[in-house]
Amino acid sequence: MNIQVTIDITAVEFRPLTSLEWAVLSLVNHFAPTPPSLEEATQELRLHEPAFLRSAFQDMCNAGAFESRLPDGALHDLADARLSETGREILGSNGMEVGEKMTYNRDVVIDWPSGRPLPAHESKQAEISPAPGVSLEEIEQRLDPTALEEWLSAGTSIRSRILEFLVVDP
Amino acid sequence: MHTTNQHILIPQISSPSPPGSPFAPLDAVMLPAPNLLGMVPPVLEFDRIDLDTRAKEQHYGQHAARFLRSRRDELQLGDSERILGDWLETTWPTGELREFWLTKLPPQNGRHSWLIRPVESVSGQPTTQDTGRVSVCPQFRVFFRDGTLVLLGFEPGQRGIPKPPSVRLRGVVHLDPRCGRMTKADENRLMEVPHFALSTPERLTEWRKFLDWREKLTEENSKHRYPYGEWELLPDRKSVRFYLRGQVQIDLLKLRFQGQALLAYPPTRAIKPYKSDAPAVVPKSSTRGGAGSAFRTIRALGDDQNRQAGSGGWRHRRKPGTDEPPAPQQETGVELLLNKDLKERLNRGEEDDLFPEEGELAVDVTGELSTIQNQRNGIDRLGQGRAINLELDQWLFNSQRARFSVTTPAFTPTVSVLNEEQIKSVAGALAAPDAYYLQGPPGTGKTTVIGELCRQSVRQARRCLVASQANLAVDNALAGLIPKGQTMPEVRPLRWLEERKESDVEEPFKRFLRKQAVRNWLLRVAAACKEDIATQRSLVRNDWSAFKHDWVNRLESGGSGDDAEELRELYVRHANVIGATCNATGKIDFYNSAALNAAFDLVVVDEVSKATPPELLMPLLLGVKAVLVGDHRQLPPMFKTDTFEEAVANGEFEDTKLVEFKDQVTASFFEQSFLSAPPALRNTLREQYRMHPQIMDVVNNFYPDGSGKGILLPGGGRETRHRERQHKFNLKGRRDGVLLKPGQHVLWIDSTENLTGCRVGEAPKQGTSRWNPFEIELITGFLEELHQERQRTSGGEGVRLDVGVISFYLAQTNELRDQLKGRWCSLDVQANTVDQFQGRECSVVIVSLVRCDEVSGDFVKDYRRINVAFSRAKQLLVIVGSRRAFEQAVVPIAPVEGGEPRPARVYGAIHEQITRFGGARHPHHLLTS
Repeated sequence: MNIQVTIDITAVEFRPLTSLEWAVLSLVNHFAPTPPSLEEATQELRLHEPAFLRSAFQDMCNAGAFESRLPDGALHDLADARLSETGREILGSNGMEVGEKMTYNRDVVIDWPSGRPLPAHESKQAEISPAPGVSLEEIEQRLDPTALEEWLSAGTSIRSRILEFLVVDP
Repeated sequence: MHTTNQHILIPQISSPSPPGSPFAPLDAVMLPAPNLLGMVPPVLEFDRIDLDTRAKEQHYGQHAARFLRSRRDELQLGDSERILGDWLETTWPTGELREFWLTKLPPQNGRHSWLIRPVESVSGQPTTQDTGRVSVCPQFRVFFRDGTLVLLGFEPGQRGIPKPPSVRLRGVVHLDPRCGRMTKADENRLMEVPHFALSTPERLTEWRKFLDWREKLTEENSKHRYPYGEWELLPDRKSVRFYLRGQVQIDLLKLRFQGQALLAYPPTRAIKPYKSDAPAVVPKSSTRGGAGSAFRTIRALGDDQNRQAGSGGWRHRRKPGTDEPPAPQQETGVELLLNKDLKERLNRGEEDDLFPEEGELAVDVTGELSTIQNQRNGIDRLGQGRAINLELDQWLFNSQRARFSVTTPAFTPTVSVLNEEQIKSVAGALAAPDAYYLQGPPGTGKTTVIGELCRQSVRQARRCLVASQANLAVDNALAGLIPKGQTMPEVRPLRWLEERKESDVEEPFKRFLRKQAVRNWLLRVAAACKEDIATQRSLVRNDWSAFKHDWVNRLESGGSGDDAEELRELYVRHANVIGATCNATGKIDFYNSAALNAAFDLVVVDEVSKATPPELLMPLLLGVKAVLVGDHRQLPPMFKTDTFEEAVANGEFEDTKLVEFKDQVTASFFEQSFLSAPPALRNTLREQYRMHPQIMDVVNNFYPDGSGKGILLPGGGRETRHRERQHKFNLKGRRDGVLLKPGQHVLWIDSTENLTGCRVGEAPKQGTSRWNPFEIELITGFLEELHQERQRTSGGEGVRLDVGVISFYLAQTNELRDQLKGRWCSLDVQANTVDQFQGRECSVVIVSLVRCDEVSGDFVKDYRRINVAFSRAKQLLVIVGSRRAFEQAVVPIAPVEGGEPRPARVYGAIHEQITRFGGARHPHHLLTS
């Protein structure tokens, strides 16, 4: 059974960590409180060229993922770093939000038993049933948020992370 | 790697030139570096040197910063947003006494400019030139204005001590003064410095003349326009047929269109050769397709013939409201393969708009013309002192002027398979400060040497460019970089190619393209880490194991999936072995690329004898040192799909041009450079690994030493080559059951007479090209036997046997291609001309000689062409040709040490050799009456 609902979605563009960004965050986390230097990490991870980790380290510094663990506040190298709250969040979610929050109003066809939104090309041919006698909250609970994120990102190069969604019309 | 010497050899003119050498006589004397006798740049003392760097944001900043970032570790720089500003302030601090190398450049439009870079001994950098460990360094173009030297351009230069007319400038630096206080007298002293000048500008004049001539020929080529009245897509949708109006000369049309990219213009549209704005392009199906890949057929319809309705066409220009086909008319159908863009448009349903309904077909010369322009720019850049190695023109035109080291530093090979000659070549190339010349006959492991050389350079934190005239050679060189079973994550290869051409790259080589290179590299990183885990290798501390497991898992699972895209830019910037064609390196998108620092410590050019000198120049401009790899006993530069000599034979231009532009159109430029280079700077590889020894014995006829004995040796010994190159075929043939036995690796099937003993003749010429149907029948018969044998022994299972069928004649190649392709399920048969096979190898090679009459003045007598054709075979070489026509043919072959060519009855000698091996065959072995 498929039902069609209208949903207000608040989402933000989300960029997954590259393997190098994951490495610098994980290294600081794994080896806390004394993470390795960029040089040591470059050697151990067999990257050979320090610029790769340095670039990732710089990007994560700019994202606020690190703070200095040294009394003088220096943050020149991985060895100087510890994870900030933001850094822990980024590592935990394997990515970070970029750009502004956006609100979308979308008609979504949902496979009711699984709570998964149907891809656009399937929606067009899907047989729509009248909405079951359930509340908006029940529909929201049934919806799979991860699947909704995939649905929102499908067909675009942008990955979205849903911050909030609200079923407004069953 | 260790170095032992502090000396460098400087050549001085003193002795007579060697026999056959076109160059001035030179000897070498050993001198201690860096006090190069008579070569030390003079010192210019100034009270102060005012440098104005404030234009960096507008002019050179990005380029310079990119360069510094890519060399940050080598130059021991920090990681700052303003890396260039930091470098300038550290290198040339205000109020400090500093020294510069200064080179005055030739004036341009009346303006004078200089190149400046820091003197390394002052900055504490080691001088590496004397050991061959040369590299690039930051260098700036400056102008004199208002008492300051204004930095207005960044051009990477070569580290080390330059030769006069460069000078050593010394003074107290004042960085970014608002108003400089260098005096008019200072300016005059700078103006008095002799400017950089080419040692042999007249040679470049020759090169320019050659390019002018090529340009004129190309423009002429674009003027041949063929009106068509209709076109139709053919049912398989991979090709299109244009119907040319009236009767055209088929042979001439073939000659003009064969292997060319074509354009379809609306009628009466003026052609602008330099700028293609034609609405439709019909290029070759693939940049690496065979000579005939643009064409399938060209067919003329006579007065009484008409195309049949329902043949897949007629959808265009059908009279509205009627199904009537057009009236019969004289026309010529030209069938062409569609390129990728057009196929994509077809898939999008744009089939009606692919070409103008009626119009004109013409050769697309835009690519050729822009290539010529790039080569001209290269010559200009050399003349303006814009080569990274300012000595380039010295050794390029006279290899005896190339500097060389007294001793060759030892190195530890990265692989165990190198033979002594290969080790010597790598060591010599690593030690050479300017250039090294390597001659590599077929199958002697040129790619192995190039791979080792690049890996050794990477170990020294050097960046390499591997270039070649041919795409395939570039791909092959990159493919040889990572030895089987090794990970070598320190090697970061990248194939530089325009994105639209990436689909033309053959599947095994796609892993070096921008899109795949990152993923491929990260997988090698993961594999290396896994090895570390297995061997418990940890460099600094022991608690890495758990983290490495996670790291390997992450990389092997494909990371976030975004790695390839997100890290691509970073990878491209830090790729350390870049592969590109010579022409690609001459494009401004390459040498001024924002993504790539086109300044290389080492430039390797493969198949150098196939490149014209202006082609060769383009990559050489970008490197501190060059290694030129080639074999002047293989094919020379090509004109379209022919050698220049063949183009003359085809009547494309007069033979006086062959004399006038000898260096450009033959391999003589590389040959002369190779033969004249100091022994320390050149080597010939002699051990071959490709061919069975019997095949090698045949090929040795083209590599005679002074006594006439072939120089090629079986790599690993004759027994090993024999064992590793077994075909195991036992072909019974038609009559007496001995067509081919397992121990036989060369056959000559004599096509002089047919089964009834009548002398066979060639078919009427197709244009200027020859073909021989009887030889096609013999080849088909042989392949049928081979297929039956494969079916018997493997039951049709397993990998198809790779068979190359080669002819020197285009008409024969076209016929062979039409008749042989896809005919046998157990065989992968490729029929092509010799030039398409250079750089390739096949288990079985069949060569069709075509000629039946006595051979004279023909290009079957060009030993380089015969050499390439015969040396493609690994296990079995089959020559199909008229013994009577060829056995007395005299072919001039020069000894490998140089000197005048000597007449040799080479075909006769080869036939005698093959007869000794028991491989002489008659048509009755293959055919039944």
